[in-house]
Parts: sequence; structure tokens; C-alpha cells
Amino acid sequence: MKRIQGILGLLVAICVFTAIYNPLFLNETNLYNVIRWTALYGIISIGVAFVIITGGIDLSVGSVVGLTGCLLAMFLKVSFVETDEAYTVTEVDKTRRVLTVDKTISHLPDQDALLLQDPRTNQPRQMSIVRGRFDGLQVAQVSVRESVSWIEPGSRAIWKRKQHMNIFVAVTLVILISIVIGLIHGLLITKIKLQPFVVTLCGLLFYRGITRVLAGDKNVGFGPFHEGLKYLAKGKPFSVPVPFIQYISKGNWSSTAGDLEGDAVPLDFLGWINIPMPMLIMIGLAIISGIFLNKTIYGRYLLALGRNEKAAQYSGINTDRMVIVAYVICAALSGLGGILFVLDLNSVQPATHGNFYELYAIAAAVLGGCSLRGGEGSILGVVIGAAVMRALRNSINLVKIPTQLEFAIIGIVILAGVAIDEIVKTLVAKHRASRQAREMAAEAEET
Amino acid sequence: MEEQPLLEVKHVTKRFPGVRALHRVSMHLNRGEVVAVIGENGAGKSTLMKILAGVQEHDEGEILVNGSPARIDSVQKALDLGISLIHQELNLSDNLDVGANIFLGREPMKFGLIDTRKIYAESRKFLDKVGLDCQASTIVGELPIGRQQLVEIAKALSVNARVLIMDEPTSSLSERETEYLFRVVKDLRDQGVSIVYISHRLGEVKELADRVVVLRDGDNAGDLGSDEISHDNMVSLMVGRDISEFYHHRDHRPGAPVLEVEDLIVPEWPMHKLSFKVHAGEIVGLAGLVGAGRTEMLKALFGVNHPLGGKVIINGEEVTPKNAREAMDAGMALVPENRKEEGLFLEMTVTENISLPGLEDNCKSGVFIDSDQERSVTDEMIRKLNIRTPGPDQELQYLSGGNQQKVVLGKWLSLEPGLLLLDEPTRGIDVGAKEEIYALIEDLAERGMAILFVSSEMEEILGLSDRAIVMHEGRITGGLSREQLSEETVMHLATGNIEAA
Repeated sequence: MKRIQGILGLLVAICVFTAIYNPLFLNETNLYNVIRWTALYGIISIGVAFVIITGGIDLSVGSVVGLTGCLLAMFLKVSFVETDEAYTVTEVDKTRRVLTVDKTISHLPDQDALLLQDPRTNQPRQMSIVRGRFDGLQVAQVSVRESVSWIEPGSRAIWKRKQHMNIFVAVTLVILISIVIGLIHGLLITKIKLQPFVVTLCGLLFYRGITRVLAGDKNVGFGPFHEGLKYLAKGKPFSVPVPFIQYISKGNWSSTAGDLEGDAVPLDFLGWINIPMPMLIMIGLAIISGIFLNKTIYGRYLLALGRNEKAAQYSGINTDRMVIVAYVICAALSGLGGILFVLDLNSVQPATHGNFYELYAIAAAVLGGCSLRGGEGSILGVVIGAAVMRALRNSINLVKIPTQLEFAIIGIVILAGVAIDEIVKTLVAKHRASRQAREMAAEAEET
Repeated sequence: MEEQPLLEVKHVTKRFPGVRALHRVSMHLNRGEVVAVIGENGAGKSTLMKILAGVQEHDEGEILVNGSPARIDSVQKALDLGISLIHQELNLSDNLDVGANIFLGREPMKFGLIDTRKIYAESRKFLDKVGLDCQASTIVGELPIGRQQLVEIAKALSVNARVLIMDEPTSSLSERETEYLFRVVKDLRDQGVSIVYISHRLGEVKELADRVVVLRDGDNAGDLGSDEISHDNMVSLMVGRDISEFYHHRDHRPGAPVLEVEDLIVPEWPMHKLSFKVHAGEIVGLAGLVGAGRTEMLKALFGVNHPLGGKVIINGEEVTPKNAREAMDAGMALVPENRKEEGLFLEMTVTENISLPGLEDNCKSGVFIDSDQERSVTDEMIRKLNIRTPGPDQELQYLSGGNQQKVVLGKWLSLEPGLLLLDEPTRGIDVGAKEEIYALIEDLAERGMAILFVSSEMEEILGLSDRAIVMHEGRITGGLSREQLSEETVMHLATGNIEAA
């Protein structure tokens, strides 16, 4: 618990400094974004923390994020299937892009499509349906996304059904693939006795290559579809009130702000910050992970084997099994992270999606108190570490430091954070040793 | 003949943070004598030697060389005074030849280049003094350890060492090399060199020493003149009490066999089959020289070393464990030789260390740690074993070696095993803690536990065992009942002579 005070202080310092320098930091949208990215990176950082606690490392996190993200997008690719429902267009509203047809539309459009013959090119043309009945239109009307200027009343329209893999199946499949990846890592490390660095480095390269082959090296994404699933990444389940925040961010430390005409407009006392869905997911995962690590026997076994694998074996712990569990957790959380990242970004490049994410995750874990030697780590620390990374990035943008310096600054901050930690530890140990010496000398004087 | 001592140490005190290493220690050394300095771990022997050799300076007291006070503030100063330390780990460059090593740092020059001919000629003199017949041009790395040690002695003599301090010189030597070394030491003594001899091997001390100085917990514990040097006298001064009390030995009536080993084949010694038994309430000592295969056998019994064949039977049931967990389930416990690497988690707390093997059996709903149970077991062990710690949440690295070893014992005892395997249970532990552990072992045997312990300390084997099994190069050479136990009988079997059936 005492270990996180340092990193928490660092986070507060970065936030306070940035807020003072550029009050836009406290803007609701900005804070929402920082929180959202903290959550997304936090999830994969928690995964990596488990592996680091066992004394290993996982360099493939970013590539797994890329692979799972692109796989999900590919699995959930939407295709349209022609049905045998034919309609005849009776009216065309060119401004509102609404078509009226001859029969009642029997089902919700739900992003389906209509197929019409384009007389200009004599080719079939697909119109994406945006809204239909129940959405303020008549029972025989649909509104479409594209321009309808070329459609003549009397044209024949065929309904095309939207089709894709069952969302539940797709997500489960992707998570399963991540778990298998974790299993492979764990088995190679425990049974074939390969080094984690080597195994996961090869993983990094291999999964990236596979991603590019499978996805064909062009952007993948969800387009306008799957809004429901996207809620996991983009949803705003509730908001948190924060007093005074608008005074700082919009009013420049006063209670009024100038509007477009220059008149002073009073600001609300309470600012509302939306809490993004990924943050709820991350908080849930963090709580479960924290309980697992600190309160269950398996967590204790992981910490013990990270400290001293031999002694753990000699104490009857099945160290192979625990190490495999750690790598499976890491890969599964990377997979989950991959799913959420792609839902958030909506369009990603297979060649680069997830690049370097493992470094951010490892940095967050290390800042949060995980020693790369293994055997120690705090989930809360990791979460704060992830927040520090994102706040720092945001700060660099807002403070208008050129992006070229971004990596340099992040590198220095991490180094400083870890160095100060070590120095404090050494000083505490020295202080304790000299205190012991004084006690022993006092004891000796008495005898 | 009343002559001035060559070297006198008067009331020397040395303090380190947290430890009082030496407290008003005095000794003297005459010309041409061998004085052995003995004591348990932590008694202060190495500290005293480091002070004499100039590696460290004392805090109080004085040192006199030939009657005049000397300040030995550097290794060079010590060498100038004629004091040379022969380390346990030799200080030679094994890529250079013998002559180069002897004259390292003070090579004779001719026309700006090293005068090799002179080096070889001069070295020859000193090599002859120690009876080393090899060429001065031989590369040191090619010599066996025993001869390398003689090179180091020759080097010391070449800088006119009048006092040779030898620190555990025989720990890496074969029997023959040891005998040779003894002859060299006696020769040197007769030539007027004085030797301070530090060793754990009391048999050697008996053979070589003219006088014995005993240290205990940083103080002088007593001196023994040449006619007083005996095993019992040495040990009782080292431990400060009557040895029969020290080992707390009581006679036991052994019960049914708890451990039966049948034709066990240990992977490191695949050509031998091991068979023996240990009964309930029996303390069996496993004796032998370093490298005899005892640790490997214990590990094979416990399942962390996989035997190539044979059976391990616990309480009549064949168990032959494949890992530690199986051994534990069968009621076995192993306190390993190397507690830092194999037995403890130094940065975890006392509670976390003690509770670890029992976590699974004591957990709530199969997954959650039962902290109350953990705490009560730890408190019980701290009390029973008298573990000195500021509290159960103290990190183990801040405890002394003796208390750390008690924690290792505590963690296994909390499982109430039927068979306790101990590998060097009192290594690196101060005398007080040692006695506590002996009392504990006795107590456990009294209550029916079967105990098999490995020890390289002859006194421990002699003092603690109801029975001894002796091994040599992977093979059991014989067993000895308590009446048959003596240093001679044990060494006889330990050096490979098989007991006549």
C-alpha cells in the first residue's frame, strides 16, 4: 500500500501542473478521453502485470491486440443477403431521402439494405437503410443514406438482409484464441524451458505477420454497424459531478465565460464528467485481479514463485501450472483489450494496430510497482501507472510540447519514477540497518 | 624458553552495523608454532584474520609485532610486517605460470623487460621449501587445487612471511593432498614460520596444532595447551557448555519403520542402489564427505530430484513421490541445504513463509486464504520455536540466520509430518540457536517423528544421532549404532571403506 503513494503523487503532480498550465485539461471531453484511454491501456497493463509478477515478460501484447482486433472486425464483417421480398417504389422524397413503397415493411430495417436497378448504368445498386417504420416514418417508408435522385417511382426494390456472425460467438471465439495463445506461451516456457523474452518476442513477430496475412493489409473495421457492441467501448453509462471544474476549464478560473458575442455567461457550478464504459470494465477487472492476487492462495503462489521459483517448488507449489495461468490471463486480457480498442477506433490497420502497446503496458506495470525480477506488484499501482502514462501524453499535447519530444519525455518520466523508487527503498533499508546497529550497541553496553 | 611473541593481539574490538564481531579478543603467536583458531559460525574468526591481514581495521585494542605496536591499515602493510593470508578461495591468476604468480606485482626487471630467468631461479627456492616439484613455468590453471595452494604458500614465503594465516585450507583438498599439506605445515613450523590455522575440522586441529585458541560469539572462550587438545575440550569451549547437554540427546526406543527405501537409484549416481530404513522416534544421521551424494538422495526421496528406479515407502505404502506436493501429502518434509535459495522467501513476511505449504489445506472454499488460520499457525510456531522477530509481519531478510532457519522448520512442522528430512540444519547458525534446534529435534523424536538429517559436522553426527548411515560417492558404505559411533569409525566409512557385512 505504501508503494503507491509515490506514483499517486506523480499522477496528481502531472494533473495539477497541466491544469494550471492549460485549463483545457479539465474540460469534460478531455477528461472523458483521458479516462477512456486509461481504461483501455489499463486492461492490458493488468494482464502484463501478472506475467511480470512471475518474473517473466510478455512482449507480444501489442501484436495480440492487433490480431484480436482485426479478427473481430473480420468475423463481424457485415454482408447482405438478398431476400425474396420485393417492393415497388411509389414515391421518392429527394430532400429527405425517403422512399415510399407499395406494401407495409414487415420488419425493422436494422441497417438492412435495398437493391434497385440503376437505369443510368444498368447495374444493381445497394441503398443502405438508415431508418424505417417506428422511427417517425409511415409503415411503408424507409429513409436511406445515399442520394435517391436517380430513383423513378415504379422501380422494383429487393430487400437485402444484413448478416454477420453472431456477436456472442465472434467475441467468444476471439477470447478463446487469446487463451490458446496464452497457453502456448505458458507451455513453451514451462515445458520446453524457453525464455519468456524469446517466446513472446517471436509471438510479437508471428502474430503481427498472421494479422497482416489474414486481413490482407488493408484497413478493417466495423463501419457504421454494431452500435450495440460499440457501447462497450464508447458507452457512457453514467456521469460524475465535479464542482468548480467548469470554472477552471471554461472560465479560466472565474465563474463566467465569454460566449460567442463576448457577453459574460455564468457557468454551472457542477461539471459533469462522463464515465466511459471501458472504465467500468477495467475497474471490475482490477477488483477481481486484486482479490485474486492478494486474497486467494493462487495469488500467493504467484507472488512466491516470482520471488523464488525453487523454494516455491520445494514448498509443494505446482509452479508450471501457475506460470501458465499467468500467461493465459495476460493473453486473455490482451485479447479483451484488443476487442475494446478496435471497437473504440472503429477502423484499424492490420500492419500497425497495437504497435508498441506492450511497452506502454509494461511501463505502466513497472511504474505501478511491479519489479521485473518478479514477486511483487500491486494492481492498484498498475492502474495508476496506466493513468500516469495517459495523463502524461495528454499533458504533452496540451502544453504544446512538440510531438518529437513526446517519447523522450515519457522515457525520462518512467526512468525517474523507477529510480526514485529504488533510491527510497535503499534509504529506508540503510536507516533500518543503522537503527538496528544502535539498538545492538545499546544492548551490548548493558551486558 | 621465554621469548617475545612474534605477534600479539591485545583486547581487540571490532563492530559492524547490527553485529558485534569481536569484543576484547586477545591471543599471541610465538615463533615456529602452529596455533589453531576455532569457533562456531559467527564466533569472529574471519573478522580477526581480516584484521591481521590488513583487510579491515580494528576499532579498539592493539596489535604488537615483535613487541612494537603496529597499525595494519592495508594489505600491503600486513605483507611488509610479514603477515600473509592464504584465503579459502585461492588468490592466483590461473592463466599465468607459477613463477609469474609468485612474483606478481614485484617482477625483477632487466633492461626494461621482465627477467624471466631470475623469476624461475628465485621461485625454485621457494617451491623447494614447500616441496612442490613442478616447473616454475607450469601454468597454474593446469595444477590440481592442492598444488595451487602450495604455490600460494610459496608466494607468501617469497615475501618473507613470518606469519601464515591459513583459512579453511583443506576444504577443497583430497585426502592425499591434505596429508601432504600437513607435512608442509609441520616443515614450515620447524623452519621457524608461525602458522595460524583456522578450521572446522577438529580432527585436523588435533593433529596439527601446538595450541588452540577458541572464540565464541566474538569473545575469547578459552585456550588449550598441547596436552589439552581433545575433541570434547574443543567442542565444549566452542559451545560453552557440557556437550552432552548441548546435543540434548536422550535414548529413544524406535517404533515401526516410517521410511523404507528399496533400491533407490539417484540420478547423479546411477550405478548405485540405496536401501535403508528410518523408524518412528528415531534420529538417523547421514554422514559423509562433501560430494558423497547425501543431498541428492534426500532430494530424490522428496521428489524434487527424480529417481531412476527404486521405491520409497512411507508407513507401509509405496509413495515414490514425483514432486514436492506428493511428498508432502505422504507426510514428508524437507528442510533444504541452501535455505536462501531453496527454502525461504526473504522478502516475504514470517507469516507468509510459514503458512505457504499449508495454504491449500487451510483455505476457505478452496480459493481464499484463511488469514485468521494463517495468523494463529504463525503465532504458534513463533512461540514453540522461540523465533525472535519484532512481529509476524517482519520481512524474513531482517531476521538472523538462526531465526530464518527456525522459520523454515516452523513452516514444515505446521504440517505435522511423519518424516522430517533435514539437510545441514544448523549451517551458518549461532550457538544459541543451534542448541534450540537440537532440543527441538529431540522433542520431535520423543513424540514419534522419524528424522533423517544430513550433516558435515562430525560433532553433530556424533552428538545427535541414534544411528548413523555413512555414504561415499553415491553409495551407502555402512551403518553405525550409537555405541559404534566415533570420528574414526565414521571417517573410515566416509572415505570409502565398506563395512564388512
